[in-house]
Amino acid sequence: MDKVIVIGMGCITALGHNVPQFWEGLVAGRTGISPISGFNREFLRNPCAGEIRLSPRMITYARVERIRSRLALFAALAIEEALRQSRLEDEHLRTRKVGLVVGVSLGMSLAKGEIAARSENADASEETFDDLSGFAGELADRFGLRGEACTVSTACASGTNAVGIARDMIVLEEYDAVVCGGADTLDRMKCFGHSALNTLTPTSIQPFSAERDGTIIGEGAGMLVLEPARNLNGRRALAVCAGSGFSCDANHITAPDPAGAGAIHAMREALSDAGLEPADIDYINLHGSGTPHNDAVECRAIAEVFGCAVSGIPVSSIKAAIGHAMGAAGACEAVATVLSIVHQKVPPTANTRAKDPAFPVHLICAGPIDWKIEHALSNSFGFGGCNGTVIFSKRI
Amino acid sequence: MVLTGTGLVSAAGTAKKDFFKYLRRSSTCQEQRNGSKWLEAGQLLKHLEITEPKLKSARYMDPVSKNAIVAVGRAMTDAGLDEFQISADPYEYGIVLGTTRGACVTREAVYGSLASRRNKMMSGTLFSHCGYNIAGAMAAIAYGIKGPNITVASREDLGLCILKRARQILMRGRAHTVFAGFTECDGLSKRGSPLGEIAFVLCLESKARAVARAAVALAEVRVQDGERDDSRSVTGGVYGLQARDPAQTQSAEALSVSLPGLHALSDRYRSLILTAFLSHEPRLKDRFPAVAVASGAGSNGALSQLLYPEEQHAAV
Repeated sequence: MDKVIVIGMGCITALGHNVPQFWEGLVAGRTGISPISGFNREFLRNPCAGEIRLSPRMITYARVERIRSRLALFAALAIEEALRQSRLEDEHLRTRKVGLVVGVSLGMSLAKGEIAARSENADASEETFDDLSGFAGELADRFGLRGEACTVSTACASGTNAVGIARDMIVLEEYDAVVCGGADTLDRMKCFGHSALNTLTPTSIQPFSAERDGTIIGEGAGMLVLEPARNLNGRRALAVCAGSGFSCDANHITAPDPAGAGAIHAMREALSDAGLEPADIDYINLHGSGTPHNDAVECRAIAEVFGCAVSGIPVSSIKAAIGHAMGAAGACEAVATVLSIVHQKVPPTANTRAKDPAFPVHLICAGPIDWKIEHALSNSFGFGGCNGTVIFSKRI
Repeated sequence: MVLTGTGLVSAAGTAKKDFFKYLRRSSTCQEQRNGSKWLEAGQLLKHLEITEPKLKSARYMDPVSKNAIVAVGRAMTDAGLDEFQISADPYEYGIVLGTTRGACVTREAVYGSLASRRNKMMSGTLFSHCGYNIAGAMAAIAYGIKGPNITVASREDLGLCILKRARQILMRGRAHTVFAGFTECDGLSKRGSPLGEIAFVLCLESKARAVARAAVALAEVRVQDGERDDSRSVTGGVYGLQARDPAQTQSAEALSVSLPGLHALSDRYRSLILTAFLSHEPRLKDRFPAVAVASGAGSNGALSQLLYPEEQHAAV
């Protein structure tokens, strides 16, 4: 079986509008969490979020490209950056079998135009929609992709599952390339919803710390271009997309299975898919949402899968840096994981000064560390018990 | 992959034969049902007087979730499966559901809850049930299905997209059985469509699994990509395949399959419905060893193909 490689990446988050800015911010331990400016913060449990400030260039891009929603804008910007890095020419996109798989959680489904003025960050001219059917297809049309265009919605695992599905498309369906990732937007309704569920921190997000008391919402998009290794033709691959795992807790609509059985299954399936043993993994990019229950379950699952090796594997979460970008979270984390391999460096967990002493993991929190990373794993766990894991490797 | 069962809930009821009869006759389901008024979104199960314990497993559920639970349950039964079999190996069963608007009824209710609380807070219960993947998640919880659980959306080729995701899961060995289908709750009055609220689920299994449990395989289902401008890719076009090898579509004979009731359904699901319908069509089985269903004129053209077994298990 031909290896599936990552040949291009794009990313837009509260930390920056492209991949270099994103990585620079992660390594510096910066956080893009700041007071929300796009909508009314009154009555929110936390007035801060990982909000993206639109630059003049982005606004011009949206006008020129006739993009009328934040969701499509973020996705399009990330796809454009990823395709540029992949050096896939327009002719390749027209003549080859290139697909698109985009993960979205709630997207702009709750940002209704008619109530924009009082409770959303969608202004009257923005396209807000709750019909997901055209989202991927319109992006595919925009970039001239002629293969299948599919939207995946598995809550906060959407981005990770999209990468897994894209990899399977290349392995099984002889795709020449698949653009995959996730996009999502911030709005007041989501902040209200997470407030109501007590998943939103009233203070600051501190993944895996003993003081953790909730997550913080973010937005953005992350995209990867996957290709079979046979198509490289002298271009430089960033990493191998080595394996993926899927599972469902089938336990509770918002809470994870306390035993972490679904997470364990997803990680083991990804390891098996990649032909790796737990001891082969050199870095874990955590789901690390910062909620007390979620972090505890993820830690339990990691300890179960990696056994006594767990204390030697560096782990970190980027959610304190960019917020929980929901449908985009897994894709942005996949981008961060690939960058960790490229730079042989583990980014720190911003905000967290020390890990919860009850957790047996090797949490990187004071600053980045140089680390020899051959294989890295990224986890995502979503509402509805949807779990996803992807593994990236260095060696082509 | 082989098709071993179909489950559904629609205004035509939950029985396959009633639904297929409706597709052939095109009379509205409401006329069949006491000539009552068009149903409001979310009233289907009440209208059909379906009450099952599974529907009470949560304090609140969106109609797409309830309908999906009923349809998955019917598909399980039709395929000869039960919860005990699933609980023995829960990760070997997966779910792929298509939806376009998902839990739109709950999303409307979320706004109501916010307004009723003077825009200061909303109901956490409602918020947790408004995600697009809620139907797949609730069906998984109802039956203990722990394998891949994917919710997808796309344009005209959504029916085929669902089949492709199911095939991926089966062929990559992520599960041996996938409940694949769709659930929508547009409301019957909104579009004037009697099938606006519907959940439709196929039980698809790997050949090996079907053989191992001696399941009745109605058809082997294959999917094949086409080109966007493939002139043959008119959604819902049906072709009889003369060749024993269904990949050889050159000898395809365009068939006139008259199903006026299909017009009550969104185009994007026609290929999936036809896959189920044709697997039960004895006249076609007599004439052709295989048939193909075209899908997705507006996206990427593609075909789903059904290879009929000559006799029980012959195809597997």
